[in-house]
Amino acid sequence: MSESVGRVLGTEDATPLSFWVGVGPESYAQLDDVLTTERQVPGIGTVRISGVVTAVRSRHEGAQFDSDVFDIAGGLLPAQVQEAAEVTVTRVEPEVFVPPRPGAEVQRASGEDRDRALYFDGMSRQVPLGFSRDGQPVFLNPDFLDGTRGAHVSISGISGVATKTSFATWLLYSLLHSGALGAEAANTKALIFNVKGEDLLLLDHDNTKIDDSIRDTYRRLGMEPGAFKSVEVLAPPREGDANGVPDVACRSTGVDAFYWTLSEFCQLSLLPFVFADGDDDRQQYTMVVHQVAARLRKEARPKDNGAVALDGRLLTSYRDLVDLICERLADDETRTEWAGSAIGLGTVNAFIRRLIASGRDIGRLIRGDLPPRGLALASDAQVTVVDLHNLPDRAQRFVVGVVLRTEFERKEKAGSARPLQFVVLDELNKYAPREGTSPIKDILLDIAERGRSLGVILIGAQQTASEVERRIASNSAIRVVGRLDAAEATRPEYGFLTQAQRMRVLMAKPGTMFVAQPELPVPLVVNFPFPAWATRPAEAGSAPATARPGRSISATARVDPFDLAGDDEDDIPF
Amino acid sequence: MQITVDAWDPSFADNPESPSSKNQAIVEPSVELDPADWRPIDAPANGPRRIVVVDGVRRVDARVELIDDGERWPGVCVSWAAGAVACDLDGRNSAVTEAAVERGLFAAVDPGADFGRYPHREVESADPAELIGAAQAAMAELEAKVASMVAMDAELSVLDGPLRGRTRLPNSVGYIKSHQRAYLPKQLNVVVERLKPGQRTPVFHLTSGWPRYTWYLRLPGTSSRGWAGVARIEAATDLSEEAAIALADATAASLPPLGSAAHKDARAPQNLTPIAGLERRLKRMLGDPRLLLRSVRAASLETGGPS
Repeated sequence: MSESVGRVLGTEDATPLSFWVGVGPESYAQLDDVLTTERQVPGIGTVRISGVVTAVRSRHEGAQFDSDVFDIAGGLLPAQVQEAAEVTVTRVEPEVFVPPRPGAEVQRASGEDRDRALYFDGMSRQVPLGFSRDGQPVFLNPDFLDGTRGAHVSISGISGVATKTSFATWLLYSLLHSGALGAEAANTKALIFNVKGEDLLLLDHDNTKIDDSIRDTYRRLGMEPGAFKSVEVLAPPREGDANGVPDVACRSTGVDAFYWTLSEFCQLSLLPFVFADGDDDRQQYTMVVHQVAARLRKEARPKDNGAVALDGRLLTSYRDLVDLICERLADDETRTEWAGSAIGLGTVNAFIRRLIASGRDIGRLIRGDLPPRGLALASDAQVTVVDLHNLPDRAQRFVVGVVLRTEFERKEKAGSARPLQFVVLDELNKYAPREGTSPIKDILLDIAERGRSLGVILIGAQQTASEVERRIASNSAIRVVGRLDAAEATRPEYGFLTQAQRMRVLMAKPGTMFVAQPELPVPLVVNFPFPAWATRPAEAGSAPATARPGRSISATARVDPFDLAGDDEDDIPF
Repeated sequence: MQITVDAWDPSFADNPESPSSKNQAIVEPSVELDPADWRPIDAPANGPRRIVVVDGVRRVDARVELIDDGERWPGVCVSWAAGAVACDLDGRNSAVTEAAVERGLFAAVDPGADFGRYPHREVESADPAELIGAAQAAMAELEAKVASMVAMDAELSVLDGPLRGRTRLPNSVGYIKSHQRAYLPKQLNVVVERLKPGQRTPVFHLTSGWPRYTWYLRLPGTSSRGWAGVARIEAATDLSEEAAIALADATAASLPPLGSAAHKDARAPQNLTPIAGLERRLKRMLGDPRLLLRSVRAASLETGGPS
């Protein structure tokens, strides 16, 4: 039996889209509660109108002046405290858009009524998102996530308290472990770019900070708490290290270095990604960039260990390559060949200046002294974390651009959307800004517009959705908002939030997200559970038992090299 | 029988001046103090904490004319309500405990048909002022009924208006806001003018039509000169003199804090805050006058109308 909350108000207009409920003296309604009411329509029968509480208020009835409150509280003036709740309608069944009648009884929806009001009943598969304020689970329709009917997620919120990356990883965990994808979950891959700190490098470590109550929330949502099962971390090589040891402090196993050989750099025309800044594109020298890239592709001959031979010289490092290009461009005789004709000297010099500057940032990623390691994501791990956090800005753009292009081309060639490839990328406003163009923005736009059919799903996060390319945001079927700052919350990009929710996002706590999905006219407020995987070294439990054998998984060895293997007597003689 | 509804706004028919007979007022001032000793009296420190305030409101909803065999009879459709507020000053809580609404058609002849929500009430006279007076009496009757339901457990019951006919309730006083007549002789009236806020005159006995104890009390307000903010309070004549004086002290202690503020109430400070709240509530209970007028018009058409 549903619990009665009150009756539809007659002093405020009741419409088929929203109405006010006078809350009865013995009950209450809080924000996000799901309420339902019925009315009889001649010739049609019972129409059930359900919705979500989007505003609540209480007032003294009978008071005329503000100061009356003291008389009322002092026992001098009779008045009645009356609460009212605004309900934004989510569902009308059958679809006869009639307003509820004032005076009609309003009940709190539970069980099947609640599922119907929130369209959970129509979801053949459900991805748990967390709990709403009333403690009931909230689900997402994976049809809008896996490309069946829509794809891509856009997560907005200010840094630090909005927990954007936590929500992105939680969404992945829920998707992979809730059974919503069925058997396909095993082959589904995720690519996560780690931009800040070493937060995401411990996804496969259990979180020691979680207790039984948190574990219980995972079980109530239908999944086992735990860390991601299969994770590989890719980190850039250490600066100045000849062996390409990955630059990671917090873990020693399951880490691999990523880099590109000089021959790959030339053959795959990666040079434009060195100039992936928004303002690089507005300059004249883009012409030169493409000329030089074409030249490298044509002339470079691959040698051992990724080195290349160019114009009879063996180049074994990015700096060698930069020096050679600069030399050729400085020389009057070869300049036309390399930079193209009718290019001003100033333009060439501008290119040279930037190319030399890039040597410091990108030098450690382009190697001529290490064996080629094939595609960046050749691994069979389910989740690949690409660590960018200690790379300078230009190098971050280079890695993101190259990795995304490689992945997109791989999926394009595969010709099948399945298995799905998820891409989690933070700071989308940097990679796909609203103004200007860049090679990365082109790829991200491609993913946003064609990725749904190719099975590349973007989970993008940004501090300000207003600064991200409109077409990327508008192609996202699922929009998630955490805490926003006041100026940002008033922008039209957040028009899907209700008026009251725009106020609420200003004080959303970490772990609270507003999730808009296409089927529901109102975003749902979700509290997602604390991560069951470590998000910082202090929380990390033991490493997963199987540090996958075979590949060069461990760069910084788990075993102490100074520990003389099991030999107590043969000690260092001093 | 033919009934027509006057197109005029019915509030024009409402004349709050009920007909009053100019009886000779007999004042016996030496109940509490000898007239020579009359002076303002300060309130005691402590007064009753559980106070019940009873009030009624009345509204003329429609003026009708009943035409029977060429003879015209005036009638008024009136709604009235009465209620009581129980103020618990210690519990800091006040609530409308009892409220009732009644309606009636006051006319000398019975329309002989069901007239909307207004049952017929026989009035001897055909004078419109007498009809209003009858409605006023019906309201007083309802007030008395409400008061008798709630006054039993109160330390002080304040009934709005003269106490006439409601003298049997315990600890009850009548509360008169305005003064059409000065009852006291001239030299004692000076004492009323000298009252400071919260002070009262000594209790005196007054017979003007009917006997009762009475005294004046000045409520705190914007101005304390002349008769501004002065209310007259009545107590039943069958009380002992001591009981009447005790009641006077109780009102002097408890009523001044209930006085309303000038910017909130046109009748401040005499219109007590609980009464103002109660009146608003009661007026709301009377219903929407336009809606009621429409129902009266509809009923008048059903009961004949112009043929």
